[in-house]
Amino acid sequence: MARATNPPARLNRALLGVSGLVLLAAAALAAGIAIGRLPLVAGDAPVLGGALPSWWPWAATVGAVVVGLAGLRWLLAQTHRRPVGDTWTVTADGPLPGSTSVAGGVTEAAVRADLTDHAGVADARVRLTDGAPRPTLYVELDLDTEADARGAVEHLSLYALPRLRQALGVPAVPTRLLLRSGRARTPDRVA
Amino acid sequence: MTRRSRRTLPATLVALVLLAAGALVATSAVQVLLGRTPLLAVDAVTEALARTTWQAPAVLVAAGVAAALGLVLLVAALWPGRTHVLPLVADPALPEIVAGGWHRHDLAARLRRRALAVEGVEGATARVRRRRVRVTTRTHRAATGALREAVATAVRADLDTLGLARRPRLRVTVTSRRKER
Repeated sequence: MARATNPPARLNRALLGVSGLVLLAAAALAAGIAIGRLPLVAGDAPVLGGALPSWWPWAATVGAVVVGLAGLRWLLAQTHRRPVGDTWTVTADGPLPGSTSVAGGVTEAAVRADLTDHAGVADARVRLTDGAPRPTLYVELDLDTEADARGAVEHLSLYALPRLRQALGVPAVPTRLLLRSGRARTPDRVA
Repeated sequence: MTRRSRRTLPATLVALVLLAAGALVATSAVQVLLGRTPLLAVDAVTEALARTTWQAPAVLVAAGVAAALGLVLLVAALWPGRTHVLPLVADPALPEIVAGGWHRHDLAARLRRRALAVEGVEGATARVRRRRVRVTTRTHRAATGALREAVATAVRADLDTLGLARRPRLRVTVTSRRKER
């Protein structure tokens, strides 16, 4: 599956949908037994017949720990709001076997430095979202509120990306771009 | 690049409920294993369930509540949600930008600054939706017509430079703080 482009939207939608379906199924089951449409259990039988088996605390502990940890994991996933970066790895095609890896952060810091060279770019967040051989890039540009947006996008496309292409030795780096305006500046009054 | 709501709020709520329920049940079960009084009154719950038959109204009420909650969660999962990012137009001169967009809130902050920069504007708010930008400004001036034109011109000039795939309609409102006499 393709990498998530808007984390954790896909995860949230999937898990919310599953939770909703589980609740609806449980409700339909209980209601079906209650009105006698589902003759699994007699309608006048108690919901809990007989005592709990002796092993219930063990089962409950295991089940509850699994559910609780899943909830915690889901909760923590809410803090990851950008696509994850990837490592750049190329294997040598010479006589000696080997490979070169560049951690994602290295590439990302270099592109970020290139981008912030532009006067209108206050900051940038960069992720190399796919590694070799077909890299893709995700960029969030924080523009100054007064900056010319077009100029900043051209700076990315005509200066930073060619340098990245050259560094990685690839013909193209498809890029997804999110424009933001980060730090606010006091506006100068104009008539 | 269009980007829609991540549904963080319903997801966080359900995750918190799962975490709390798991912690409560696990704690109670371990307390039973250790022979202590459990946090959750397990005996009371089992007794109540043993006394309730499937035909009892309480079962139907519980089923109804669960169904309603399940429906809400399903709608939260399936509803497309509000657009958070307005897409940029694809520029043939910049083929490597395969998708681009402006974040709605940041665009609103930028347009608000454009409105504030107009002489005579005392305060401004801007709201950006997928198809509509609404700028509301406040002024001390009594006559608002010329000011509204000036704000619209300033904001429109900036909107034109942003390269949005679909330029939202602009609506400017100017309210005067000076009392009409």
